[in-house]
Amino acid sequence: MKTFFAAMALLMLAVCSPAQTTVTPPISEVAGKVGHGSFTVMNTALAPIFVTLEARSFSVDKQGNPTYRPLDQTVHLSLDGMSVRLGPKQQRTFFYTVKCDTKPCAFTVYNTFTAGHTDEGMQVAIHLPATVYFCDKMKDCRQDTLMAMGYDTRKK
Amino acid sequence: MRKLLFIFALLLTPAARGQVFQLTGGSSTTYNAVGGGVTMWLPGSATQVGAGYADGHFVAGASTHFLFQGWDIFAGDHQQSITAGAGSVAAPIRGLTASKKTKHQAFLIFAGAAGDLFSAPYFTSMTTNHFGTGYQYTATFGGVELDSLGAIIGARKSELESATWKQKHFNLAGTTGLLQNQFLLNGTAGIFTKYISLNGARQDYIFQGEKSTVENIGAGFNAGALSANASQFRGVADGNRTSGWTTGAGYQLWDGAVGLRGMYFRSAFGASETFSVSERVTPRLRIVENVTQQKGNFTIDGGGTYVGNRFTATVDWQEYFMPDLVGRSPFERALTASVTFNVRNAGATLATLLTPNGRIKYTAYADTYVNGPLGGSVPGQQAPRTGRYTVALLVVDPHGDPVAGATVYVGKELCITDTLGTCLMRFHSTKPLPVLVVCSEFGTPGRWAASAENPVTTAPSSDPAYVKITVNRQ
Repeated sequence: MKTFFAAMALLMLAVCSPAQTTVTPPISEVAGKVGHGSFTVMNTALAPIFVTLEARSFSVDKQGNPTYRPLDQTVHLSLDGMSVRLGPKQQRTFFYTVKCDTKPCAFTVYNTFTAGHTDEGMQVAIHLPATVYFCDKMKDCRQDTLMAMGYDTRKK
Repeated sequence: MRKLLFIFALLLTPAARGQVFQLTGGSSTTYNAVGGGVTMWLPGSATQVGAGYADGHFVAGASTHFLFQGWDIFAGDHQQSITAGAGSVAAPIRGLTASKKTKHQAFLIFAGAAGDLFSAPYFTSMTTNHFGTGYQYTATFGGVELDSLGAIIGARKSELESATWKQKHFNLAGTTGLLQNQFLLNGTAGIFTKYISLNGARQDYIFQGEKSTVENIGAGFNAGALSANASQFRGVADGNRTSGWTTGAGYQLWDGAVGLRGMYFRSAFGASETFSVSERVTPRLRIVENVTQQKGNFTIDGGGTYVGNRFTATVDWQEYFMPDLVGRSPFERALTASVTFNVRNAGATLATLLTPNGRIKYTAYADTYVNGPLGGSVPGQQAPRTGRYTVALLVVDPHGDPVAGATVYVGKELCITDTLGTCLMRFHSTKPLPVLVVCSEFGTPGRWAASAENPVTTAPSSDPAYVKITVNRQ
């Protein structure tokens, strides 16, 4: 009986282990009149996964904690795809173009990774962000954007 | 016996689920080899088998990599490369390699038949002709790393002791001892600040019993858009001394959209200058133009990089310092070009190398991933879509609530809905496309069925309204 439970535990660990996924770069700074950039999602696991993208605006409190909300109307983001199905060890680069009515601005693209279909039970999703800071000048772009939101990174 | 079979079947289930094979094959005049291989990715282990012809001889190899009670184990053919501070020993081994790490210590041992490992991007194999064994022990404390490594490969003995000291603004590393029966003394030192870096190194290189030494000192300056560097090299190979120095500066305009770079190379055989301009034409495409002057002769060449999901292409010139060159400038310029294609689960790469003596070498290989017989189908990466016309979908249940993770084919392309139940796809034309809801692949748990009233076709447009699709959870 002990060996049975040990085998069951091993089985559960093997089945429930989270999918291995990466997003690079997690933080980008872009500058100019129109911002161009890209990020890459990768499935390093052996099972195929679905990835869906959702762009969100965010604000930061004085302690640096972000609060997410739907993408602001003032941020005009164009992605070359909103979802992808990745086979084992595959990756996909998403290119984007962004314009903001007021700068500096920032947004996060949440990449939601889910694996397979199940008729019953629970679906585990992993949400990995790719955050973009968009300014007139590249220098200190992230710092300036967070400062405009009321968070001074130098006071950390 | 039944219990054992039951437990084995239970453990095999996730193994079959994660069973993936990577098939590779290729040919190369750079490596002078043709061959192929299979890598089997299973939960907890990866096994590789390869075979082919290298230098006109049939060669084959196999290896497996797994964890066993905290030990990281390679069994079979493995290129054991042990690095200690500023020195390293390469030991191709057909046998066992085991390593274990704790917070402050690491230990590695290997033993087996040693010889020459052949490794190309598309297969790995080995020929053996003598016995080899070795170890490495590493201890770290307070930013200091001490290494001791020893190896006996055939008649060649190596015994190196090394110390590395790393801090935020500087590092220091020294290695001494015997490498392949020859005395070795290597050292590197570096100081780094926000804007300035200084470094110096002395490296002994021993290859097939021949020793060459390269000493260099260098300085770098980096202040955002402006960067500059200078290095001096001295080399000794086979009793011949050679030296050279190089300096350069670069400037980035318009947040990196245009880059300017100038380099100057000087040796006893003359000087050469290279001036480069690189432009970011689009986010995916960057091109480079080079003007080179050597002994009064001007050469203009160029290159560039295109990065996309369907294919990636690179053409590049590299400058190498080669101390083995006798009676001529030790700086050599070589052209490399490569193209990689991705189609579904398969990828193909073609790379060429124009050597300094003007000969073209090439490498071509392809690989693909397939599932094992028990693993089901492996969906490939869908082709990336661009275009000015779009299709927008909204998938809801009968109450009007959004359904996340719904999978809908529009034409041949798959769209997966986000948490708002929406997804967007791009197309090049307004041609009507069939719409197919694939309930068996939904990311949201449950048994789903599509409503019979859903649209069967849709046409992309430049200002699309959401195409509403209703699905029921049964």
